[in-house]
Amino acid sequence: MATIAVAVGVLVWIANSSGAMQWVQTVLATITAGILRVCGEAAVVTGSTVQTDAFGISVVTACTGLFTTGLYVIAVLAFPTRWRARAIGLAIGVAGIFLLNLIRLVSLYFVGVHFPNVLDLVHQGIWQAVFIVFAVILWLLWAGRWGRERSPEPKAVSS
Amino acid sequence: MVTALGGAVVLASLGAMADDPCTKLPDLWMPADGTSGLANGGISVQETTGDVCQGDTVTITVTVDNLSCGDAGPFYVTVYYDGTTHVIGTQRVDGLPGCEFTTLTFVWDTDGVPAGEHEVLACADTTGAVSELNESNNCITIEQDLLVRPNAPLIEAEKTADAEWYEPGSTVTFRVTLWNEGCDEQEDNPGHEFIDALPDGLTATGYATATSGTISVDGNTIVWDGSITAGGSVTLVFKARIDSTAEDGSDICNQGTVHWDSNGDGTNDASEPTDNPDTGAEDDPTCLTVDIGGTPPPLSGTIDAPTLSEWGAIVLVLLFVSAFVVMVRRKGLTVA
Repeated sequence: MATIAVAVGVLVWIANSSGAMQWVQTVLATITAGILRVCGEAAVVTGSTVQTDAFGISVVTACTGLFTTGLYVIAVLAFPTRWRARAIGLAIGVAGIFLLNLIRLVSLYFVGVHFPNVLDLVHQGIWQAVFIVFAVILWLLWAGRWGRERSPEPKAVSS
Repeated sequence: MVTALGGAVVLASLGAMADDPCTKLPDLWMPADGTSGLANGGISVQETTGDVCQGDTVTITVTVDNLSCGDAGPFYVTVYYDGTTHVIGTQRVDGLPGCEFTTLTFVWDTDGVPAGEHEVLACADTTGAVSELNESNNCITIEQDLLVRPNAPLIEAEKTADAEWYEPGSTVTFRVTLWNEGCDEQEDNPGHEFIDALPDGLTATGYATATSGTISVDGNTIVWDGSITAGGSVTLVFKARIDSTAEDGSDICNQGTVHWDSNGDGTNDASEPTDNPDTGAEDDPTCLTVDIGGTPPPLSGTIDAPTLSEWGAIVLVLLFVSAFVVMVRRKGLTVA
């Protein structure tokens, strides 16, 4: 319980720390812009906003996936298993959610440019559902694979 | 005693004043809508019931006041539209005592009245039956013109840019609004309902949205196809990039053109260029100026992209809790 409390405290601190959040947002925006440039888009980063002449995405606090990551982290820490398994779960989850968020931001950019009519649907509907399902399934897979099984009941010894 | 005498003198004087006949001529006038201070605290009404479709009726209310103390004999009040050649109706007033007013109501059947905006004029004593102190204040034009909408589509279009000054290479967001002021729906007829060929110096980015119908970018031309309900509107938004070689201070102007079916036969037979609502001129182009080193245009087309809405967050929490409980039970674990 103490571990979970510490984890929640750290997450709340990050969420409320403008400096930490700004750093996360800038990192996300910079990597997103880098991917877009690789895809041939003249993307620039202004603060935490990725923009081209055609479209832009502001990476605000809620765009970082912090809430999803936080819930995942708490679920991993709360699950009774070994610390090594927890470390694996945290690494897989945090990295996986971060990568999925990058894919989401890049895809939203292209949807915004080429299919603006469905931008709201993709943004509010599809990606939100994908994010939720991804985080929960990732945790289930981890818990199923690395979650500690209870030791079998000792067999009764017949005299 | 003195007081009683004084009171009698005052009463006698008032009686004399009341009996004193007014020798002035009457003065009929049409006070502006909302004019207060008429007899018995009356307020003038000069209004119509508002825009209508062709064939509907409009109720017009007018007030005639007699400014003078002199009584006016019988006279006629006539209401016209678009000058004094088109009579809406005439009513007889049997007389108007000095300082009194009267309010009349006219019902106008607009069947056969040309569609469009009409000026409504009301005049008292149109036959000149009453000799007045002032003969030049007998008419009033009702402040709000009356729009008679055709029983067919009638489309108006406006086009705006999100700023007036742009750097070369920057992106302009244009917004076009199409209104159907007619009383019949504009169908999605053969041919485009809206076309905007971008001029030299502007290149369509491919971004184009419409609140209804289908908008597309064909080369450097924006086209829209769709229907607009009677009284409804459609908003189109599209973006274009200013050439990076555009000269400082140069103006780039253009207009789109809206096409509609003015007689309801299923063919778009009428057209009109877009209007720039930021100027007083009608149907004028929308212009922007290239400004090197000027203030950058506002960031456009940028969205915030939160991963989860409030409901999404709630669903995620519930799913995690459920998954956690299921997994703990399945593995037969206990949480410390």
